[in-house]
Amino acid sequence: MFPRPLTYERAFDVLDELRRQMDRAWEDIEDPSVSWPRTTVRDAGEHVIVRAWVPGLTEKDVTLTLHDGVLTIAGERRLTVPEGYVVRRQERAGSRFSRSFALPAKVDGEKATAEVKDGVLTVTIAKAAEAKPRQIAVRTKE
Amino acid sequence: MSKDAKNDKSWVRPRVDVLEGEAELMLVADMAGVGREAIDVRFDDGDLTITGGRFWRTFAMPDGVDPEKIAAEYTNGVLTVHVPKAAAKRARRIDVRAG
Repeated sequence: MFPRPLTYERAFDVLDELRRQMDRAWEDIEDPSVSWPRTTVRDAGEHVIVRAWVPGLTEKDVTLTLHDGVLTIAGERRLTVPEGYVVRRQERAGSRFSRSFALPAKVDGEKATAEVKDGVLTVTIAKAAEAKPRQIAVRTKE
Repeated sequence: MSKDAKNDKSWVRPRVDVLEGEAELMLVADMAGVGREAIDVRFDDGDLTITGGRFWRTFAMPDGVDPEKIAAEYTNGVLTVHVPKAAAKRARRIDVRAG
């Protein structure tokens, strides 16, 4: 596997490189150049769960549309500066947004729920009956 | 938590806006999904540190703030910290009276 004996030093090099990649992965999370809001789509067996980090927003600020297996999350975050205040540093993004995600399984749009808590939107959509995992009984052949 | 542990890059720097008003500095940090009870705000030797979940960030505060009166609130995943200026540092409007 390795062209020459793996010394301790080189082992650490490999670990360092791994850690650098992990660091980048973490940094990406809050990198302003990455689309806002940060979103994950997860196949959770019976459901598909979509989660979006939308600090500052509530249910009424977000619009969800499900069409042909594509979920669209849209809305607007407005950042207001109170009267008499001056902006000294601005890192937070405030804008209209719309992001679409092809869901990883066929879903039943009638069975979807959504909530926003502490600035995290969670959309839970039931999979269509034929897309749900099924347990297959294994029988011993006599 | 030791200072070394804080250097571990698995911490995420929250995005922060800083606004200045006549009587205070206001820090606004995006910290979604943390929950109010998990948030820690402290002022130590001129540094304001906010921690919660994976989020961690420190700001050096200018001289002339009043650490006793720092207040913070967490709403919809956004942490707002109010750092009042010490009375002597506030801009004052001086009335000009007729002589």
